[in-house]
Amino acid sequence: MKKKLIALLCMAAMSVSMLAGCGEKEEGGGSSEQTGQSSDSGSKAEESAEGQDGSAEGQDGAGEGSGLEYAELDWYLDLGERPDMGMVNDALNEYLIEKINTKVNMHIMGAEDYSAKVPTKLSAGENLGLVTIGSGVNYTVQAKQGAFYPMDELLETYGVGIRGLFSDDVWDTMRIDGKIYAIPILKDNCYIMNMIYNEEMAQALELDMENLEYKNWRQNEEFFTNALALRDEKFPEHKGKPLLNDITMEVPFYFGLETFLDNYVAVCNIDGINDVAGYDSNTVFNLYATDEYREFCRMKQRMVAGGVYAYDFSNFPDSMYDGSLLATSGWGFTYINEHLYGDKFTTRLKVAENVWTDTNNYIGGGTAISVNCENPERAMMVMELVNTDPYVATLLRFGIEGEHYLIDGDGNMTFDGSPRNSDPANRGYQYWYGASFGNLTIVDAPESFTGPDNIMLQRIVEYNNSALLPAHMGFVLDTSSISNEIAACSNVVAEYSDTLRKGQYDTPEAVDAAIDQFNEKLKANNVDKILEEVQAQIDAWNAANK
Amino acid sequence: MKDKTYRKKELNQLSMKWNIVFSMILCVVALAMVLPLALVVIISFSSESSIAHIGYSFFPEELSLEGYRYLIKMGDQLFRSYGITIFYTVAGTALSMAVMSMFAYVISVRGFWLNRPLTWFLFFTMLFSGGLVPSYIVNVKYLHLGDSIWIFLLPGLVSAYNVIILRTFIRTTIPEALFDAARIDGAGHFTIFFRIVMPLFKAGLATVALFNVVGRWNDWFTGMLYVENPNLIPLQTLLTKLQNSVEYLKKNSAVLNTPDGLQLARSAPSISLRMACTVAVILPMLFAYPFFQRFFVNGLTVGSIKE
Amino acid sequence: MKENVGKTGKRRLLRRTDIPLYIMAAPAVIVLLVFCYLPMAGLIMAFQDYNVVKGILGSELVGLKNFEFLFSTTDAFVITRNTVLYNLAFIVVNLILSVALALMLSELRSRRMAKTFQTIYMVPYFLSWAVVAILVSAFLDRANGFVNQMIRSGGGDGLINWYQRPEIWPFLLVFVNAWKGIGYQTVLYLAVISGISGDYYEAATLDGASRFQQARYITIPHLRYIISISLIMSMGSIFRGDFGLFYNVTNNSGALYPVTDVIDTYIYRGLMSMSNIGMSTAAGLYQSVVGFVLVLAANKVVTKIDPDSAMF
Repeated sequence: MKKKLIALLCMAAMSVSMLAGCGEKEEGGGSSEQTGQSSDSGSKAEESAEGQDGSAEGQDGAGEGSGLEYAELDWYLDLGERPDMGMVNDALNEYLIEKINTKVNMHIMGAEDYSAKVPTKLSAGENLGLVTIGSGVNYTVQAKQGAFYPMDELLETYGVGIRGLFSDDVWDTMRIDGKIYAIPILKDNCYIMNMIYNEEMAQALELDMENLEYKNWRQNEEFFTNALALRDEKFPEHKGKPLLNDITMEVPFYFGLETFLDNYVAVCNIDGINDVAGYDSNTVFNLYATDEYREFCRMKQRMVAGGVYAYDFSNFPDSMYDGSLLATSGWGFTYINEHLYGDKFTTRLKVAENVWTDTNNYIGGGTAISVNCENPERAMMVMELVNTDPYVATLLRFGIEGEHYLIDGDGNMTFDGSPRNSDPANRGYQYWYGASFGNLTIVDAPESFTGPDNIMLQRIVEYNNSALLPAHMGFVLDTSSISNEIAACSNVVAEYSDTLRKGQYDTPEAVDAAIDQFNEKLKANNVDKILEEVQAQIDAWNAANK
Repeated sequence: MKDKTYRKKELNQLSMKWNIVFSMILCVVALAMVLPLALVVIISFSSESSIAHIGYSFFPEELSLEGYRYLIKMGDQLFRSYGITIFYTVAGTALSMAVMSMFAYVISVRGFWLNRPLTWFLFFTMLFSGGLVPSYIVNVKYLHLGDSIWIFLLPGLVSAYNVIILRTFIRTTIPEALFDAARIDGAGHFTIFFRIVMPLFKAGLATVALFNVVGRWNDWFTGMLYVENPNLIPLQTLLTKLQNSVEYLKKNSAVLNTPDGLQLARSAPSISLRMACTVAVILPMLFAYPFFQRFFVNGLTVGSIKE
Repeated sequence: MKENVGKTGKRRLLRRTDIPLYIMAAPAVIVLLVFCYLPMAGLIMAFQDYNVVKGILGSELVGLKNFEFLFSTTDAFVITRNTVLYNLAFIVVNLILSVALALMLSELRSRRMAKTFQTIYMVPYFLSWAVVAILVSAFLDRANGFVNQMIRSGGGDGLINWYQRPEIWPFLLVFVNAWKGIGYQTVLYLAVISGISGDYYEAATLDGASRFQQARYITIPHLRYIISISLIMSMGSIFRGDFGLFYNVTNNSGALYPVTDVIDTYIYRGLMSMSNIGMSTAAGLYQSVVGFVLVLAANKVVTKIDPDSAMF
């Protein structure tokens, strides 16, 4: 009898909670201080690059008196807390109320917090308003689970500006079961590989960095090994320290490939790069089983044993800043400040010749709308402003003019001398890139960040537009029939790939043995099934799209 | 009576030889446990440059308050967190002990027909759990406990493990004969509980109370998941949030090479800060522990000599 | 000695002497119902293709599909073996060490020393696994670790990457786990020991029993009950690995997986890219069911040996 009672109770409780809908209102985050700032945006010139929208197009009316009802919604972000979050939130709301009679409560938290809280809330059916993708919120999983509101119609009506920011191909990559569930971020959406080198050291060692052929980090073993010997001779105080920093990703720094998963058990070559011999761009293969991968691992081991890379970078926490490195890796830099790593040396940027993109690049970040949001139309209108209005974009990243930054006589933005942002160790409010906010390219930023006339942002758009496309841009893998194999193979990859990437072996034979074991295990865990399935889906997609 | 027990103490003492052996063994164990804490404290007072040059050491090149500076800057928030944590630790433990000890008594009564079913009912909850999302749904959507002090007090009120321990204490510490005598005298269960059980199994109460206090004090997850109001953020949550940016970087090292990652890496808390956080959490516990200790009167001196 | 047993089942419910018991049990029962059993209904998600809009009640059932990934890896045996063996080792080692410590502490002449030691033993419990991982790396780090430094000063190469040597880790993990956990357990046993009536010892001393005999025939038997209860309860979590220990302390080093990968770390890694709630619930349910069966078995075994020490 007790069991029946309990069961009944459960049913009752569950039904009530399901019917309760999304009436929850979350508390706003941070303190609320009125600032009374006027809504003047920065006066620097905006870019004229393709695909940008300077004005806030596509809005249905504007301003309090325009007949729009008052609406309030939440926005969850993973960018980390700042002391003045509440203050800037209030300034934002002043503007939003005026334009579209809306108040937005921003909940900005650290990435680990975010990954602890938000996926749970989403699964529990909470109304989170606008939700940032990433940091634990996996776009594909959550969209499939029904946590997001489909955006196709909203984009046509209230998000025309946003719609225009990306090509159809890109929007296709955001489709799950045919519908769009999130707005991608307009930032460097391609693999722009960088080498950032120490100019003083390069000159002292008489190295010609500018003419160094640079497709990827894989190809300059001799050059760097030589450079190490030169450095140790010329600067004996740096002996024992690495020459290059930790390059934490296999791809994109070593292989230009189209990826479909979080790892490289199933990849395709990209036309124009063809990093792995013997496969055309429509054939799916396992990178870890290729000769090129073996070569890479052996090379890494040699260079670690030789001292070019450190065996364990946690033993050299200062290496980026103390001037002992010749070069560091970067991803996404198109312009850098001359003293990116401090005043000890001048930094110069080299961008690799191969720049490419793939689907994964887009679905890693973005903003979605909760499925049970009360007012999805309004949410889209807010997003439209955030992604097309430079005032909003700048406010969100750099705070309030006069408090967090000053405009000097030349119209340049600067933090020095601002009441709340002048101490670099202790900023009141600053997010850079602040990618989770949205469109980066309309932001007005100080010269030290984005160069004169925000040239960095222009370059980003150029790279985006000229990046090599994979053969299957717009294709999203359906993992439902191979999810077990993917989980199993992810585990195997985790077991081997990190150590291989770091070259932490004493002999080349050890590397070979590890790679052999690695591949044996992958085979045992049905990696072939994954390859077959991906190939089949790609073939079908090709047939449907040709 | 006091005289007799004094003499007994002489008779019952451990021999000198064994006392020394035991003391030495226990001392070695204690060193193994306290030295790491000492290291933690020293690191918290070491300067970043010292750590970069010579790593973790008992003798850093340079001492500094860098680690604590950040904590001190948090000033207000830190005090609030201490306050709220102390409050709900004490209140929660008190409430919890009341409810649990009553239940423990009930299932310790031999011959009570509901004894077995209730024990199963209790123990089942230790093994099976619906998981994070269903609990979240119940706590927030149905009971509206989110972002309030009650989220710290109510859900953790009954811990099956602790209840079983309490019952064990009741059964081993209090002889059956006492119960029988009381019942023959006509005492009801309330009387037995308050007059006999509670006074007698102080050691059990203190042990479980200690476990309770420690559990609540260490809990960072509840605050992380359910609380946004800065007035309610517990100490561990606050400090864990602080240290978490490092954890995130470790688990997602790909981020480091990007412009975003660079900023994150630069603002990541230093090792000395993380150690300072650890010290900030442990210190109150070390002070609180002796309070419970006096209830574990050890060994032969039960009922006779108290220190 | 049994209480007055009612003649018929019906009368038992209303027996006046039992009413206080109902009242005393009620608060805990309500709390458990609301906070444990109600959410437990969510276990059904293990069998569902969960959809946020349809919710727990409306999502469609997919049978055992969510459980497949636990067994579809070649490592299924390895992770299960690791989890179980480590847990058994932890239980046995911690039990022996804590009881030994408790006995020694209770015998010490100086109460003050005993109390000081007790306080110190609690310290490791408060350190988070992340901090413990840092302390371990202070020993094992390849370049700066204490162990390699000693090797170097002894004339060796001293560049061993301990995080790539699976051989030492089973012992290391058992040691670290003991270091962290025995202080806590010692408190428990000490508390029980303190409750043993001094009369027993009086009588034994008068009979001429030595200290060791007293410990063996009085103290330890009194611990029997708490030890068996603890053991039975530990069986319930025999399929759960302490994530903090196996992930943080090992630095998640892939080379060590064959000896350090446990069910919880495997689940974490496997689901990181998928965060499928059905699968994670299935994994938890699997661990619970196994624990449940084992507790029943353990209880049965204990009942045969000594009925009084059983849990049920």
